[in-house]
Amino acid sequence: MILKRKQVPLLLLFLISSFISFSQADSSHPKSGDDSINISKWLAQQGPIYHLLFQTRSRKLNTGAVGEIYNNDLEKTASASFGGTLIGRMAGLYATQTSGEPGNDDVSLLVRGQAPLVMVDGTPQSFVSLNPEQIESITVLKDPLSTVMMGSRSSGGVVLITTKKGSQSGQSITFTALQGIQQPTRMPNFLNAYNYATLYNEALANDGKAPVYSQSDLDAYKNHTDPLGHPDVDWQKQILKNQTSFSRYDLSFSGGMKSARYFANLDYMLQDGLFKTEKFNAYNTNAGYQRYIFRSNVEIDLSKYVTTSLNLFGRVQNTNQPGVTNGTVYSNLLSTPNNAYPVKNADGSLAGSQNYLNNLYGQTVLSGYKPIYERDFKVDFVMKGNLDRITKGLWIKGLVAVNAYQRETIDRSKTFAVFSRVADTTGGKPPYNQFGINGVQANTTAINSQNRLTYSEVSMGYSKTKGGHTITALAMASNDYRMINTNLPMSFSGLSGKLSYDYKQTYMVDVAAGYSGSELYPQNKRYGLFPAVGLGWNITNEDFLKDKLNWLNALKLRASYGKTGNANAGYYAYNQYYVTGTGYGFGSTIPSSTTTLQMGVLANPNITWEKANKFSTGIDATLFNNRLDFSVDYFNDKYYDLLQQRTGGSSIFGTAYMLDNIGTNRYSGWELQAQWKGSKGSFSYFVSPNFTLLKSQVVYTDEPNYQYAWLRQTGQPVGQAFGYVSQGLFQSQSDIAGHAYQGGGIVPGDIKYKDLNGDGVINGSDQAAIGTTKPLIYYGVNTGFAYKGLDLTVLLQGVADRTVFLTGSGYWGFLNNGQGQAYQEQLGRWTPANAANATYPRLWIGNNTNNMQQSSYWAHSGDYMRIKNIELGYSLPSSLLRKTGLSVIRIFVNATNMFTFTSLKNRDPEDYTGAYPIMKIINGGLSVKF
Amino acid sequence: MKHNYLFILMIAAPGFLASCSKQNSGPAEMYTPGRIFDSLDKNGTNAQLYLNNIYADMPKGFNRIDFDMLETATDDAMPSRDGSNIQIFIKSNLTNTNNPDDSWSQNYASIRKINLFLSQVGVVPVPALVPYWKAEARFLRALFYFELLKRYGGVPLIGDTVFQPSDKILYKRNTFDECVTYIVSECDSIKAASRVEPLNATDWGKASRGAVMALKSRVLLYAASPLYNGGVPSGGSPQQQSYAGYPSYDINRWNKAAIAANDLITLNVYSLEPTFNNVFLNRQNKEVILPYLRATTTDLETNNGPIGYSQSAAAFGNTSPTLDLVNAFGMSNGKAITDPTSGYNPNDPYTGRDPRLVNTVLYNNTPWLSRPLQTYEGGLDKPNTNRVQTKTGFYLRKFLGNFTTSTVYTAQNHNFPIFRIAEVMLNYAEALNEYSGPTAAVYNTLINIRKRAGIAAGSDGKYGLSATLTQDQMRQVIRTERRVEMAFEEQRYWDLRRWKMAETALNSSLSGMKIIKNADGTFSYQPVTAGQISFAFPKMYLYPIPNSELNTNTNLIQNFGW
Repeated sequence: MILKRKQVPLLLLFLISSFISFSQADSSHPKSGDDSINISKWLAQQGPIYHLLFQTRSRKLNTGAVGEIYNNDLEKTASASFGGTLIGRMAGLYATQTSGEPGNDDVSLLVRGQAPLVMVDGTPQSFVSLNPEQIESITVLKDPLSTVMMGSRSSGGVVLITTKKGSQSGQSITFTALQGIQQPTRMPNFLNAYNYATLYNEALANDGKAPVYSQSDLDAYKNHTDPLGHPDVDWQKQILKNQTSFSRYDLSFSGGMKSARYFANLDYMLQDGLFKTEKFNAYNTNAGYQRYIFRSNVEIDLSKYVTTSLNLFGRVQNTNQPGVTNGTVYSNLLSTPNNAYPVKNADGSLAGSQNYLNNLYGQTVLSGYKPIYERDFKVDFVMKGNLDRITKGLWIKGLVAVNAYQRETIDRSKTFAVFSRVADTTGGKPPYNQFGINGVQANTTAINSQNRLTYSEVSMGYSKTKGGHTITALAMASNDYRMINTNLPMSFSGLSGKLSYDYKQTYMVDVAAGYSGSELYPQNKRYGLFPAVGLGWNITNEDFLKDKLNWLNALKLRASYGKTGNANAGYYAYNQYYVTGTGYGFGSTIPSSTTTLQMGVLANPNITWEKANKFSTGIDATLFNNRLDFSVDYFNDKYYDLLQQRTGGSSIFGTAYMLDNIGTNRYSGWELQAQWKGSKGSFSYFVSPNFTLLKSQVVYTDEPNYQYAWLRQTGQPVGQAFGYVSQGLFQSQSDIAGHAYQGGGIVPGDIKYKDLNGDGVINGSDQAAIGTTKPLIYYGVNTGFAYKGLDLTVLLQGVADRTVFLTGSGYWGFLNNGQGQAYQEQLGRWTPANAANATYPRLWIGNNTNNMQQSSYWAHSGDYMRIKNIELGYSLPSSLLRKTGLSVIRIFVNATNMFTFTSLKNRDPEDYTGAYPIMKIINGGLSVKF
Repeated sequence: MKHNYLFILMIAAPGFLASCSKQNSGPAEMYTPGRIFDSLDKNGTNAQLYLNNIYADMPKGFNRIDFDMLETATDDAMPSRDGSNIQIFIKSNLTNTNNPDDSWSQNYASIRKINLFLSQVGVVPVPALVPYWKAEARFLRALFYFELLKRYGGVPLIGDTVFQPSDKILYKRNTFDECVTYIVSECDSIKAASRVEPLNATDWGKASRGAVMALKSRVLLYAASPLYNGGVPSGGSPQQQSYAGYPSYDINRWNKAAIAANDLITLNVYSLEPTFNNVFLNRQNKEVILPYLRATTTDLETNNGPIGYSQSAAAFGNTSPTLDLVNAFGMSNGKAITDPTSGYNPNDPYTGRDPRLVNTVLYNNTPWLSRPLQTYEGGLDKPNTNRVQTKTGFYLRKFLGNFTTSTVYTAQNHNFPIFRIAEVMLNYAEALNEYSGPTAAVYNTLINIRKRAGIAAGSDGKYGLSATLTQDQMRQVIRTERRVEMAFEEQRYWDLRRWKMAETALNSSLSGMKIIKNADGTFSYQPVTAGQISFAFPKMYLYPIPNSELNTNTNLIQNFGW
């Protein structure tokens, strides 16, 4: 309601202006919708403008730190999500993918270390899974000036997706088809049954226990003489395909005439899963993801003064998986040794036991299926009017965007029984013990998630140039109303504005601010003001440089500073609530209700948004006859009032501390984005590298006043791993006896930890920062050439100074009390004979308190470099096409994640836990334009 | 021109939309503090539900440590699985950052709930119940302090404080003595305000006068026991010593313990159930003083039952009782199997035994689920394949339903007996024997327990007890009786510590029975070593205070040896 008062002047302004008629239509809107496919298109394109928040701005005048990439780059990487197409392409944007599960392979994005707000066409309603053909550009806003108008949601940076618009330049129809295969990048290597059993016995012996496999067992495993009693099932081969298919078909229409423009797009994508299927099922049990998208962007000039546009977007996503779900199959792959059970018993029944109820073959093809149907639509309605009649350069705009989403899961899963052969069949007992039951297929439906988002905005702008002075002003009121699942509606509303001034395009000053609030915060503490300022100087416009240096075409210095916000409080975290707890009920008979109540998370009545003071500066330069472009950026962002839990408090307090605005982190770094392009005759090429160095530091976090400095997180990088410092493996009993006490039951081959405080005992005081503490480096090189009809581009992408901890069920063997799988890595274990070359501690069964601690022993370099993308294309010469009426025919082959260089063995550097692997995808494609 | 007005209105519409959305102040379906402690709630419904929640924090027993029972870290049993977390105790691998039985923060969390309840419950307009509630809450607080005391030694006593987030919590540890005094004085002061037995049927399970007295009995018994009563292992500072027990022995502590136990026994409201199994399988019975109530389940059966059955009788067999425990059971004539006159036959070891044995341990050839149990080598229940199976030739029987002739497991009452009268009787016998020697009262108490167990009275009516036991001999008899009677009720683990026997009893090898089925269907029995257990002396007598607590509260002093 607070907003209402604030909006009165604005609304009055609209009413007044309505009595005045308008003059000429606004022509400032960029007309960049021509998506013609031509030879030069693969060259990384740079337009003259940037898409900024709620406005476009000449690159030359921009004072913020902004990166923008265009459709032609996005189309090259095969990925369901738009984020996947950004990996490695932009400085300051760190994109990672940790799973390749169809329909669940999202890419996480970090802009200068923060999770950005993703917006589509200026609305805070976004989609992860999008086809690139409908995207004109993706803009990453990294500095405070560019994002501050988002008010309390401005801290993380903004990723702005701008969809294509039609243009007046006539109609075009483009059809693109891609068909390809996908394969896992890397998978762990499982031990065969003989090695597994041998190592199992060894692990037992290490703990002084008797072996469970006799020599005849081992022989049977080795020689495969008894596949039922002594199975050796390669489960990956058994249930997974080597490769699976990927396809996508896309159709675009674009065009327009004087008063109306349109862009329409239809897209279909199919990403198949890796599970083998069986013909006897009437339904599909393979994982898979199918996506149907349409978009229609129509823009109509209603009069000379008023333009309206209506953007419609619809999407249907159908995800399929076996009844037990994809995740369960993959986690069971890690908990099923090759010798656990045969696939089937002699009588054809599924094999298994009480310890292995989850026959993997049964889980993939006999557990039914569980499809997920997601539907969403988005409608943006925009009206924009010129108020040049009032004063030239004045305009107003209204926007309403509605986005509704629903996810429905249909459960058609079923349980199955497994059977284990028993020795004793006396008394007519069946020769198999049954575990579990063959259930009836379920058929239930549930809406798991839905949201209804309504974004509305009124904005007003003014632009005027006089005597070299140009002023551009933008003011707006907005409301982002979000109804998510059963939560009460939540809204972000506020006012924001930006004022830009330049003198002869040489000196630029920008001032912007957002004033916004939401119910996330207590009444009367809901609204905050977030201001920012930007300065720019086009040095090459100065007389003393103008036309003096031929090699320097343009040089700009720019800087911005501002305060941004991050509204991340929980659901009414300022109110104290009581919640239900562990059930308990009294009475001599079992009571019908055992509900109990306890205090929920402690309320924080003073909770507020996180804030950041950000500084960003950079140089943009163009040299050597416009052949070299580069930008160098430096930023230094201090995030404060971060919501963190006190860790310095005693647990005698009796409950978890609430999230408090106490933390301070600093992120700083350097970014370089450059491009060199050149041509000779019909040969042209480009090289476009980018490089980012991101340093983070915990400036303040509430932690105990530790006795030892190495225990402190303060001063370390944000998210630094802590653990014991490994000194290798114990080599002998005397080695153990001579070392600090690590607990009972330590044997040679166990990990030896450094006694940091020298007190003779290894305990919590000996944990320090482990793994790299250096700043994270990530980079990409996009390069290519074109010669006549032929074009080739390569994107190389990498990360350095990254640590991964290889731990858990995807790396350690014999977990889950010895029922887990074991891996090739275990063959390098410590034994007295292999003491010098051991790459793994002595083996153990189940949990090992000493060796399974987080320690530097398990830290590995996570540095990697990928050939993220290669595309080779050939466009038929236009002389051939002339008769056909087609303007372009291009055939191409592209490959995503083709090669990966890393020191990790058998593990993908991004997806290394044994989850659904990420894929290399090789596509052949055809693009036709009429 | 006219339609331009319309456009303007349409453009302005979002502004109205933006301004008219009403802002909420919180979900109305959630419980606010005023709805819990409600001065208008005539029935005190929500306050009762809040108190019920604290009951759910009581000791739960059973397979609570990573699906293993606490007894698998004693000489009574072994975990059947390799590499489960209970091995941290078995291997003395405990550290101040890795303790599977750490309950420091959990108990202080419960104490906070109680202190909050005590500070707020006064507004609830149910004068008939509020005094009971307060007594129950204070009993639970005393119980939680005892849970801390037996694990960590003396801990900070925080009284009725409900801490605010801004409070600096820098409490020092109270001494063992102060903690015992506090718990006992709380028991004494709430005894009169507590519910008097018999409880209403709907109140069954609430902490009554008997529970208060049982807690006092147990606390005083521990306080009088060798580890604490002047027996603190040497080493460490005087402060550390004071957290671990009393500086010198005082025989009067045994007297106090005996009186406290006798007070409860002579109330005559709790008595031994005629049928041993009913104590564990009947939700309400005469013997249990305080249970941890649950709905009926098959979890005990599934976690511990023999592995050779299928479908609805399939089980994991996680607990392997040792031969040492089995050998602690005497014969049905009450004599120990080591007694040459007992009639024990090593070639037929399970015949003619204390009837509690068959109700505590499942052994080879005993009928179970309509077939004889097969724990012989290669038998259905010990197939020697890569499946988890018994390591000792035995499975757990106690607490499991009576499934001798069933074919499937059905849901049973499995309510952990936190206190039952048999324990109080054993407390009494132990304390009295220490204070005044093997008197007739000591004999009679043991006889009552043996009588209920089904042991034959014998011609002398002594139920197999020698009439001429010395105090030392009687001590051994009582300890064995306690081991047998209270097996798997989370007593042995703590008893071995307070008797100061863990350093020997838990530094040993554990035995099992290897059974060969002969061609003629008979069995040969051969005791074998089934595993090892270790106990780091003396530090394992107390748990380490969690490292995080030492970091945050620099006034806390760690226990000696950690």
